[in-house]
Amino acid sequence: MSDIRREMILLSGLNCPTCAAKLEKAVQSTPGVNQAKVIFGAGSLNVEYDAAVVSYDKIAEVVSKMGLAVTARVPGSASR
Amino acid sequence: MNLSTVNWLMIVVAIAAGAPIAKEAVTKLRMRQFSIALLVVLASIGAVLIGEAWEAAVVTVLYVLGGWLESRTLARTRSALKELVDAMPRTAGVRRGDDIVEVSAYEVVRGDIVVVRPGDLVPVDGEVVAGSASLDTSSVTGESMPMEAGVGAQVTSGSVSLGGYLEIRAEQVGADTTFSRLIYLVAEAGEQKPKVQRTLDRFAQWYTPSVISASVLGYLVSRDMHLALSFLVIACPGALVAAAPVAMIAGLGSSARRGVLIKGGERLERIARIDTVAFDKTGTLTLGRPRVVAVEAFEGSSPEQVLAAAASAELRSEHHLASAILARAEADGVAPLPARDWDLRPGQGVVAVTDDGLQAAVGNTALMKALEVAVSPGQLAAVESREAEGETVALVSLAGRAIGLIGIADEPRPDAAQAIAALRDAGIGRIVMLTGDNRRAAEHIGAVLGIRSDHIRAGLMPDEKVSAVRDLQAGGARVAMVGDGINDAPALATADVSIAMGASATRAAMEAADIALMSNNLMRIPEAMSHSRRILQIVRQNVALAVGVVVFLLAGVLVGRVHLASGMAVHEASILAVTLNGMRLLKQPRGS
Repeated sequence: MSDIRREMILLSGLNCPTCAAKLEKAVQSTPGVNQAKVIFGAGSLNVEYDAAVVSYDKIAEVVSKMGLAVTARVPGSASR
Repeated sequence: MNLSTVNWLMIVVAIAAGAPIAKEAVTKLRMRQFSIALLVVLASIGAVLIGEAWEAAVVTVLYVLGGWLESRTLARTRSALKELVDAMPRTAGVRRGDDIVEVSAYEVVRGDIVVVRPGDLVPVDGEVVAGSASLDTSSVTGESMPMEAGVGAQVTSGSVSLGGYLEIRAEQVGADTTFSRLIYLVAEAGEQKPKVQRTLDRFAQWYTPSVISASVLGYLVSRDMHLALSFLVIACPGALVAAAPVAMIAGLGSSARRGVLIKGGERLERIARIDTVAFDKTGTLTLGRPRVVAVEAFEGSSPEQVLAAAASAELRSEHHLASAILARAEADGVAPLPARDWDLRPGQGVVAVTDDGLQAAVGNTALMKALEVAVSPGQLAAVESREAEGETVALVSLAGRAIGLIGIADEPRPDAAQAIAALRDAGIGRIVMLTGDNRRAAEHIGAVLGIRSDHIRAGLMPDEKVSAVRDLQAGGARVAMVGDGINDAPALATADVSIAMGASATRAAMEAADIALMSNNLMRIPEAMSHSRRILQIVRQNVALAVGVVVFLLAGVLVGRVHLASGMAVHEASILAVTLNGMRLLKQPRGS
């Protein structure tokens, strides 16, 4: 059973666009993550993942490894 | 203090400032990532080795200082979006039997009855099923006037109750609420790149590798270590890549806080080129609520009799004019004559038979003719003069005799004339009205609002509105279409720029439109257009500045006038400059 979720994770510390691209790659290559997109202007990581495979905490761990902190989470519509 | 002491001091500074940079570089290297930090560390070590320790000190200190300033200013440009997120409802009071249970806003399901007390945020989109309250909708609509919500009212999440008590049946919950979608759309809009930025991105992609190659090649050819290190320092594309996104999110975020959702990207370029704005009439330029403005009794009758007869005929009608007549009768305390046997005649009106066996009819002259009700030339003149004023006129007959007429009109929105004048001031040369209504009603509204009669297309079916927009485009016009997003959806899709109004009521319109107004405030349209132009202008300034700085640095290094320290200083300053320039967009768009 897969449990697809979408979230917009607002980050602090996302200051250089190249780091944004790297974060995107790192999250994208995490098993269970279907799609990861870093929006530099907004300072957010928009992610779609299968909660049956990967937990939010695991994604947050990838984020903090890159030296970034989560400031807010906005769950997204699952139907889109 | 001799020179070597100064030198040692500089090395200490370079190590102190450089340690965190080195740590960052090593962390990234472990993740097999090549980073700007690594460039800076390499350049600094190189500088110390060639005896330019002070350059190493300046480069590392500037890098750290610059990074700190950048994070501060970036956080500011993102603040508009963050404020929207902070205004999101987190919890909800849900009725479960006789209890009210506090749950997370994301646990509410469709159909739940949500309770909102004073000070609470409305956690769902839905319909009020009990109670009444005054709601501050400003975080969604940008409007400061509170909304009075009673039973039957549609309310949106993110509104704040100022007082009163509401029970709301949840229709859209959690991530599907208008407010939540708004936040997503703003963030995504910021990511859409205008054409000018896409060109720049391609440039930035080869810029860094090219400059690093130049550094290596330069050293191999000239054996000039200093030149090679200077190239390393300026290889970071910082300002090039940050130029547009920081301005976009600041600009789009600040307009979203005013209830105007502007989708980003090349739409900004399209919006800037608009020279024609086409408006739908009913519900867009007008309130969309027909109201009885005159009840005129012919000789031998009273206005009350006219209204009573009309109301009895309209009792079973679904027509939008019927509700206007019934509302007026109720307001005037006139009871409809008891009636039976209603006969709806499309395009003409309604005929009913009262309990006294009399025929009561409301409709146009064609209906009167069909019923063989005599209408005198004087009565006909009264109808025509009212129609010339833009009213829809219904004749009323009772027992085969014309007894009076009822004039119904849809009033322009109070800010419509002002908004059209502001659009003209903003350089929109042509304002067009497209309407399904009759020519006389359209021309009357046009005259009140200052729309030229040859810019009014009346009597249009929805698909004819599409061809009207195409006609304008064929004539070379770049058209923005303003509509409610439901009836006008095809015309909106055809226009170069679509502007949907009252988007909090129509989610589909919010997703599809280029600009979505969360309120019905028409003044937001000229504001949105000039704000879009300003965003584009600042994006272009940033792009020009970023490219200019890169050219300046490259040339400066080549002719030997820019060294490590000055190169780093100019580079960091350029990133700060584009961020600060973008921050100017946080200031609210001008206007009311």
